Amino acid sequence: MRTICCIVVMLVGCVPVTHGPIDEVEADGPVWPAAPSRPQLAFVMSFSETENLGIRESFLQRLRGVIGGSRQVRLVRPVAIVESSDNKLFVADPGVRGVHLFDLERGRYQLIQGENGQPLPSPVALAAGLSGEVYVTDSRLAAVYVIEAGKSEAVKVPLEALLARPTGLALDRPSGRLYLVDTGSHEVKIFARDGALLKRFGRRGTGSGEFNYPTMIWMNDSSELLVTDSLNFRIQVFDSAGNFLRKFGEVGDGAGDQAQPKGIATDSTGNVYIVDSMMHAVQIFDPSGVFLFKLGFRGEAPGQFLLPAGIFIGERDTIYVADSYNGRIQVFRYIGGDAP
Amino acid sequence: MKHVGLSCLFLSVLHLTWTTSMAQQTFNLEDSRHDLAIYLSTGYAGEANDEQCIFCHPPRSRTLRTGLWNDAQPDTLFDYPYGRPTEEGPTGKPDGSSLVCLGCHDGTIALGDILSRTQSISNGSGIKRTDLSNGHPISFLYDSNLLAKNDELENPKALPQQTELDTANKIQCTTCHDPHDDTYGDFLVMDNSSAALCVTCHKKADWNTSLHNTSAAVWNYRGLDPWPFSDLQGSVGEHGCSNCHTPHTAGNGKYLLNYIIEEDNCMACHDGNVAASDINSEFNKVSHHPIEQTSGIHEAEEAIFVKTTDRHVECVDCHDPHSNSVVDENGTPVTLKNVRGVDVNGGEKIKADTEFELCFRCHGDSTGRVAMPTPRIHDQNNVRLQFDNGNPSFHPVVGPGNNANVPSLIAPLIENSIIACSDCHSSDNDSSLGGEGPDGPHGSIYPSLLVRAYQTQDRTPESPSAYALCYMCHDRNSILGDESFEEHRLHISDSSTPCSVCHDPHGISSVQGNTVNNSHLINFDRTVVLPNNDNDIHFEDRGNLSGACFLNCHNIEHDGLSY
Repeated sequence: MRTICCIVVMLVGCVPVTHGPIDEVEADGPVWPAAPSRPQLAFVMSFSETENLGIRESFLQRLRGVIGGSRQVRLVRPVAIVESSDNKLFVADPGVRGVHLFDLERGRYQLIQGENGQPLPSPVALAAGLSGEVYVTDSRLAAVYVIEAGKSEAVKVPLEALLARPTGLALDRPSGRLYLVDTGSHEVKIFARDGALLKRFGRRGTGSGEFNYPTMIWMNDSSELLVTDSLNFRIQVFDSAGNFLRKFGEVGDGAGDQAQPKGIATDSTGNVYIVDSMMHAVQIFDPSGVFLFKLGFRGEAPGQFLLPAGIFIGERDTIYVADSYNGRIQVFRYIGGDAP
Repeated sequence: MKHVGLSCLFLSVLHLTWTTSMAQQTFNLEDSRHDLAIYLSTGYAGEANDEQCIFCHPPRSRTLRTGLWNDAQPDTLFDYPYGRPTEEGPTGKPDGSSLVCLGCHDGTIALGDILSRTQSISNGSGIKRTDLSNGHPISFLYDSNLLAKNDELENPKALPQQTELDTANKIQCTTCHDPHDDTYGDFLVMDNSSAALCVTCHKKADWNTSLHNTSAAVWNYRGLDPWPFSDLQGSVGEHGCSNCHTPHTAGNGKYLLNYIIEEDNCMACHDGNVAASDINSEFNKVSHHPIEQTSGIHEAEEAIFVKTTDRHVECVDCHDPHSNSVVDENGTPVTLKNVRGVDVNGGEKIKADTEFELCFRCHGDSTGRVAMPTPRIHDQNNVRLQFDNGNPSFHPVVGPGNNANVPSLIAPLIENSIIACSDCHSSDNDSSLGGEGPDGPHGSIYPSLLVRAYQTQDRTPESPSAYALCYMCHDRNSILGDESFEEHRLHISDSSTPCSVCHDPHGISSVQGNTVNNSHLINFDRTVVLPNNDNDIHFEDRGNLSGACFLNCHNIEHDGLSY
C-alpha cells in the first residue's frame, strides 16, 4: 500500500519532488522504539525493484536483456547505497555484478558496470562527490572506480598505491580526499583528489589505532572518520588526518555488543548507526558510544533484516540500509532529536 | 592447539545450542585462513581465552544493556543463527549456520561471491533452480521429498559422516566445508579429487564408468588452462565434476557450469590439448551444427520436440557428459548415450537407442525446420518421414531397404545392410574413413555436413571427387558401367547431370510418393527436370532394372523413354 501511495504522490506531482516515493513518512507507519517509548525512527519504504520507485516498464524496455532478460529490474544482493549530489540513488549489487542507478526525478534506471560493459564482480562500498560523481570500490578487482555524473560506465581511478582488498570508502567532499579502507592490509589509506597517496594509518593489532579486518568508514559532520574495526568488534574514531581520537564497542551477543559490525553512518545529531550482519540489526549509539537502540532481527518485515551490510544517511536524516539477502533497500528516517 | 581445543570445549558448554559432537570436533584452525585472531609473543592478544572462536561464535554478552531510547523494555539477546536450526528461514533465503559464513564472505572481510544470489528449490515436479544463481544452493531440505523429485541424488540417510546435514536436515555450507579444519584445502570436509565430495550426494547414471570420471588424459600445456577454476591437479578423471562445474561463482549459474556459453565448457578440453580430438576446430568449418548460434536455450528437462522458437543445438543435445564415452561390449566408445530422441513412429524417447532416433529429434517432427537444399517434386523436410521403412524407397537407416537388386554396392555392403546418418553426415576428416579428425557430424568443409563432396549443381562434370559421397558405397565403375540403370553414363558423365537431379537421397515418404513413381529414390530436382509437352513429369517403374521417364530435361523430351 505504501508503495502505491508514494507512486501516486510522485506521479501527480502535488509535492515538490526530490526523491519521489522516498520523501514522505506515512502517518501511521511503523516507528521505533515502540510505544510507550518516544519514537525515534520511522519507516519510510523499502524497495527491491524499479517499480517500487515509480520507475515504470516503458523505461525498462530498452534494458531488456541487460539483467537476465528480466523486464523488472530487481535488486539481488545490495550491499551499499548512496545518494549522489544530484539526487540519484546508487546501489552496489554484487548479485548483478554492477551498480544500479535510480534516477527518481526522471524515472530512469541504469545498470552501471565497468568500461565496455566489464562487470564489477564485487562492488562493496560507495561514496558520493560534490559534482554528482560516485565512487565505488570493487574488492575483487582491488580498485576504486568513479561514475561521473551522466556517465554510464565506472572508470578506474588511478590510485598511487597497491591495494590488497579495498572495501570501505569515504569522501571529504570539499577537499576531494578519498579515505579508503584496505581490509587486506588492515589500514586506511588517504588519497588526494588526483590519486596521490597522502597517508596510510593503522596496522594489524588490537591497540588503539590498530585494526583487525576493518571494513566500512564514514566521515561525520565534524569531519571525524568512523572506522568499523570489524574483527576487533569496535568502532574507532580518527580525525581527518588519521590521528586516533576514541573507540567504543565490545564483542558479544547482546544488544549494544558487536558481533559482526559492518556499515556505519551518522545522522544530523551525530548518532552512530552500525549495521551488524550477524545480529541482522542496526544498532544506534550516541556520539560518545553510549548505546541507544537496536533496530531489527532476522526477518522480512519492515525493520527486520537478513544479513544487512551497508548503510547511508542522507538529506533530512533519511537512513538507507542495504538489506542484502532480503534483496532490498529499507529506508527509515530519524525523527528524534529535540522534543517537539 | 590444546589450549584452543579446551577453550572451545569451554565455549560449547556455555552455548547449550552446540551439539556434543561439536565439542569433540577436531580443530585445525591455526595458521589457516580462518585463524582470524591476532598473536602476540605472549599468545593471543585478546583478553578472553577463546580468541579463535569469537569471530563466528560471539560470546554471551557480559552486560545486559537497555538502550537509552528504549526506556520501556529491555532489549533481548539475539539468536545465534545456528541456535535454533529447526526454525525455518524465509523460503529461498539462507538460514542456519550458513548465515555465519555469509556474514564474513560478503566481499569485505572475505571475498564474498560465494553466494551471490538467493536461491531456492522449487516445489514443482522437477528439480529446478528458481533463480539464476551462480552458486550451489544451500539452506534447503535434503529429504525424501527432494529425492522423489530427483532420482540422481543419494539417500540422505546414506550420506557419509563427513557430509552432514544440519539438525533440520538441510544442506548448509557446512555440508561441504568444515570451517574448523583446512586439511583438504578450501576447508572441504574431504578431498574432492575424482569428485569424491560431489558424488556423496550426486548420483549420475553411468558416471562411475564415464571417461570424464576415469580418463587419464592430462593437459599438454598448450593453449588456455582447461581448469582455471579448480585447485585440483592432474588428469581429467582426477578433476571429476570440476572439469565442467564449479560450486561457486559459476559462469552459468543454472547448471553451475564454468562458462556461461554452453559449448565453452566442452571446448576447454576438446580442442586437442586435453582430449585427443580437436572438436573445437570442426565447428569453424563452413558447415557445422550451429552450437554457437544460441545460448541459454537448452534445458536439461526441455521438451523432446523442439518448437520453432526454441530451436537450438548444443553439445549436450547429442552427448551426455555424465555417461559419455562409456565403452560398449565391443570396446567401442559410446558417445551418444543417455540422450533424448524420437523413434521411427514419432514417439518420444527419454533415451535414444540408435543414432537416427537422436537425429529425428530435431530433424523430424520438431517445428522450425529449414527446407532441404534441393527443391523436388515432393518436398519433404521431415527426415523421419523420409526414412520410414514403409516408404516406396529410402536409404536403409531405420531398416533394410526395399530394393532387392543394387548391383553397385561395394562389399561388405549388401541389399540388406543398414547404414547410419553419420555414414554420410560427418567430418570431412572422419578418422573411420582414413582422416585424422574426430568422427561425427560436428563440422565439415562440405555443405550439409557431408563427409565427402556431393555436387548438386547441374552440368557438373563427372569425376570421382564430384560424387565422392555416393561412390563411397556405390561403385563408380558399376554405375558408369550401367550395371543398374543402363543410361547412368549417358546422364551422369555425358550429360553432366548430378545424382541429386533424379535421386532424393533420404527417401520419398509414402504420404507423398508411391512405389510406381518413386522407387529407387526417384524424386526429381524440379529446377532441372521440367514437365514435357504433355505436361507430364514422372518416372514409371516397370520392374527389375526397367522403367520409363515422362519429362523434359536438358531440353530433351522424355515422352516415355524407357529402359
